[in-house]
Amino acid sequence: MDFLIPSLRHFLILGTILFSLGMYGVLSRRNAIGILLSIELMLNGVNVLMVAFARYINVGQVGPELAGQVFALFIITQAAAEAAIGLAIVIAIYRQRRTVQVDQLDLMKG
Amino acid sequence: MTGLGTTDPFTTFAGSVAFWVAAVTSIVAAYMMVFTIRNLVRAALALTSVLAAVAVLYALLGADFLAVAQLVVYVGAIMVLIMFAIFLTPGQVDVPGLVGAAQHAGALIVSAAVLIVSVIVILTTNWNIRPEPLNLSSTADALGGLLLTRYVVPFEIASLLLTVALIGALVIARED
Repeated sequence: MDFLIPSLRHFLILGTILFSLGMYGVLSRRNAIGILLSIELMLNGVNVLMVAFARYINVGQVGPELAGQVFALFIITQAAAEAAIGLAIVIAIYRQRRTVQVDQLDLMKG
Repeated sequence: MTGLGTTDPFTTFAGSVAFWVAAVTSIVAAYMMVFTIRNLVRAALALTSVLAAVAVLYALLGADFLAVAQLVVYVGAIMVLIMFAIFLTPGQVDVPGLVGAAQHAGALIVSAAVLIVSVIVILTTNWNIRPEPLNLSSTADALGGLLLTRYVVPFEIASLLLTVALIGALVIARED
């Protein structure tokens, strides 16, 4: 029953599963807000990897051992900015076109 | 005082159970959000469950500050923002959310390929694991110190990014 005790690989596989599910959502959703939701899922998958690395990986010196957590913090910051801008764009598009379906937004299609 | 990072929670039975509960919750909620739920409001609620479970995982990994930041920023702020956007675009909630069968299959192939390759890499790599877990009673002061010394330039750029995002969101979304 050793595999039931969480280790680095458990967290890495969990983060990868979340990332893949988010990637499937990005590629298969038609609603722009649904795509933004899936992007948040992908960012969280990566964050799990970062924090797991910060805890488990031996970096050999004292300074950078929290680097993974700092990176996760920056990803959370960037996700907040991305959500604000992305949803503002979605609302602006909805106001103009009355739809947020990405396959109907083909204004720039040649 | 012992903080979250001073003892290894996974040497105890309760710690392992907490990991498996959070992991299964996050994966099931993410699977439902992506595959079975069409309604956007329910998808957003499923994503909220994923984010809360990930916050539990951060706490188990000894990242107490990140767990709180995850709850405050993601569950508190970003999900409310997304809910507002869903309600500000009426008539778009219940439309068929998924694309046609061909793109469906393509998306499945691409994401399954990413998953399989990554899992193979994870399982075959010989990770350099530190002998003892991170020994900090709290990560908040260490993170604050790092942000103002080693990572001060990214920190300033992040604050600039947030300012630009704030002004940009106002400019893009305003009525004219």
